[in-house]
Amino acid sequence: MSSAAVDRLKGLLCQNLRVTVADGRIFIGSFAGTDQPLNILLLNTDEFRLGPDENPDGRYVGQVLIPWKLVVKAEVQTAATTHNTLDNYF
Amino acid sequence: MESLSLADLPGGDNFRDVTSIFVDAAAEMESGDLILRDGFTLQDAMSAFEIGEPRLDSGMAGDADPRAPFDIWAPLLPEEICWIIDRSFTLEMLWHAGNTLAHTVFTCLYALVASELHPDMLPYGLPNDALRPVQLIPVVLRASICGMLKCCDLSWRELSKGHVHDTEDWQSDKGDTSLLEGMSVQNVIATLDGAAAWLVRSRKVPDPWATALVARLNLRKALLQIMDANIFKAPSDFLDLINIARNHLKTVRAYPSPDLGPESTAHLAFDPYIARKLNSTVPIRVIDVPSVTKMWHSIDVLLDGWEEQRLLSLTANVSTWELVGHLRTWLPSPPLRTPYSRSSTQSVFYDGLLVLNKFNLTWVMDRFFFETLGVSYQSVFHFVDRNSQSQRPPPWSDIQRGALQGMSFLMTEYIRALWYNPCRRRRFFMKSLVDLHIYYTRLTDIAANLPPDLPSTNVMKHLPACALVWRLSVIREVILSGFQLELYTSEEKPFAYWYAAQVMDAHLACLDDMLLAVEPDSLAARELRFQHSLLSALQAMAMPMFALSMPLMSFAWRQMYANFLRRYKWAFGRGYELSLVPVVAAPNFDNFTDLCGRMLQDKTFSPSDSFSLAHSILVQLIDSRAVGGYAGLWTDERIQLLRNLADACQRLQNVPTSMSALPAFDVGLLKWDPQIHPWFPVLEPEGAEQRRNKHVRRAEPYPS
Repeated sequence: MSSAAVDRLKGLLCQNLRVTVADGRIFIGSFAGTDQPLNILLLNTDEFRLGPDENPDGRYVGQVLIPWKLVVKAEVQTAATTHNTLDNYF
Repeated sequence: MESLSLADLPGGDNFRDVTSIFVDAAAEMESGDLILRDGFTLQDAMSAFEIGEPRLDSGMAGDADPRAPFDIWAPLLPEEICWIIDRSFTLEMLWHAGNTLAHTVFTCLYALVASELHPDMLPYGLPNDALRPVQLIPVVLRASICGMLKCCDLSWRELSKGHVHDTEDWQSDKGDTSLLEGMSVQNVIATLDGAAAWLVRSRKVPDPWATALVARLNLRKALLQIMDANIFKAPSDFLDLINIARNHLKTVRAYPSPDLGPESTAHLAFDPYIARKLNSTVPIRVIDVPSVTKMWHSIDVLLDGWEEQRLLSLTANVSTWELVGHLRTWLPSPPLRTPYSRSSTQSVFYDGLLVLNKFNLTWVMDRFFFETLGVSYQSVFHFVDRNSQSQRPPPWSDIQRGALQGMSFLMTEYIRALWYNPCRRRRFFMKSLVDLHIYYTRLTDIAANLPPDLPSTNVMKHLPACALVWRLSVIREVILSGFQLELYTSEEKPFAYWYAAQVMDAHLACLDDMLLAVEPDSLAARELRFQHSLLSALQAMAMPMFALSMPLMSFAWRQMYANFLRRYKWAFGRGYELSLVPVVAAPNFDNFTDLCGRMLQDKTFSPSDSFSLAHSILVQLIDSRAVGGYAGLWTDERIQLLRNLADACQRLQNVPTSMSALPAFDVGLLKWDPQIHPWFPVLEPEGAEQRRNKHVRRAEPYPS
């Protein structure tokens, strides 16, 4: 199991992923692994819901497995931080 | 969501889409391939919660209806406030019944925002509606919600002492939500008083709702005061508080809250799906909220529990404590107490330091000898000290503080275990049997070194019997509780009844010996005589039940023996090898199979006559109100126990009159229903076909 595509995926291991699922929830956690059907394993995950009555700080859900059939979008956190940091205020 | 900019998304805008990387890699991977970070194994992955799986994903919206937004300041009518308060009482009782806070108390959204409900936080510009005074929410509702949360907090503290078991009896998970742990009880009581005073003085709320609300606030205050009170400091004040709570409960019942129409905004105050927003891993479960009438009854039962605790706190007989603990399990009414009541009752008995708030553990040992033989531990100690013929000192230290933590400690734990849930209680009893045998061995060693010419009428001759009768009563309870918990298969029932009869036989022999020595007018002797009569009746019921239920067996001995070893594993566990003294009334499958054959040939035994005999013994006890030496305030309940047994005998009168008539007896008529009687069946034609043994085989020759 070694190809450029798989290597690129392996390169995402241990990085923070933001996974948006079909019911609108967003999970942010550290990517721990996946399998061929693309069940995504995240560690130290926070769950967020978007909306006026929802908790903007999210809630901690720990270790989760997200089946690919629910995934709308998967994103990786880039090294550069451009928003919501103290740097923006100084 | 589309209206949100990237920067508004959780985590900010520093994320790059990698969906295609996943898709491309999946195309290259084989089925079964795994990509895992270093040190992370498939085993670790097994503990992940699967998103989208309703049983695991607590945040899943599922079939929750879209809700209108909840505004905590939306003005409400007094009757709507009343309805919310009643519902919050119901949710609290549901938590006490063993559900999670996230599915019960926290579904009341006001409970999550209790800190924001302060009058100072009241927003400007709210409409001035005389029917819906704005102060109702920050003053009255806030006080009631704070009272409920504080009661939950005090209950949580009691429940977490370890007397009852988290996730088994109750659910401790708070979901990172406050139960007002930092707010003092006095502060909450002042808030409740202030709210009641506002209702009375402001006259903004008309009757009957003003009275209804004041009664509910006062009821909450009384419950809070009871939970906060020390039962030992002022027992009479404790009783006063219970009576005050009962009076307020009566008023509350007289002023019921209305049934609100679906259009009422009060319904928005409850969200059964709130758990998906709390820091809780518990999957969503929408619990049907019972009627308010049932909830008030639950509060009645809670108050009964406190009243019983108060009586027990004044009871310095360990045997009475034991008796009450048994009655709570054996009698269908009152129902099993809530985990909170069972925990606080255990705390009253032993708080980890003192027994009944004033005695050390040696006192339990003293009571043990006094209540069994009528002599104190000190008398026993000195008598043995003076008369022991052994070169070595008697093993009192082994008994008091030995490797098995000491007899006093075991006795204390045993009394507390009577208030465990029924399954854990049975497990505790099973585990304690080895320890009890060891104590029996120690006391046998002590008695063996006493002068051999000691007459049977001397109580010191019967020291080992103290531990033996305790052990035999525990075995009996282990066997009979198996019926109550519906553990036994049909095939196991004949052995259970036969073995119960054997244990009672050994127990009766022991009591016969002890009654020779114990002072006849003492409370101990009265109790022994009662036990003797009760056991005679029980044995007269167990033996015919063994005979009648024999057709339920398959007679496949090998399988039955394997089942026997599993069911009675407590009798063959490690620990017995530490003792050279033979185990009394150990279960013996060979003796059982032997008796099965002989019983079928017995021409003298009459099952119906045996039930008649048991019935006459029980009726005699009831008529003479001979309930032993330690029933005390629980005399009526002990008589009720006897009545229930007598009724069970009567229900079984129409069984065969002789063993020769047994083949014609329809065993399917026997129906075990713990709601009717915990240990004995009824004759019920309905459903007999299903209960009949269809798996009877040709009897295997019993392996030699």
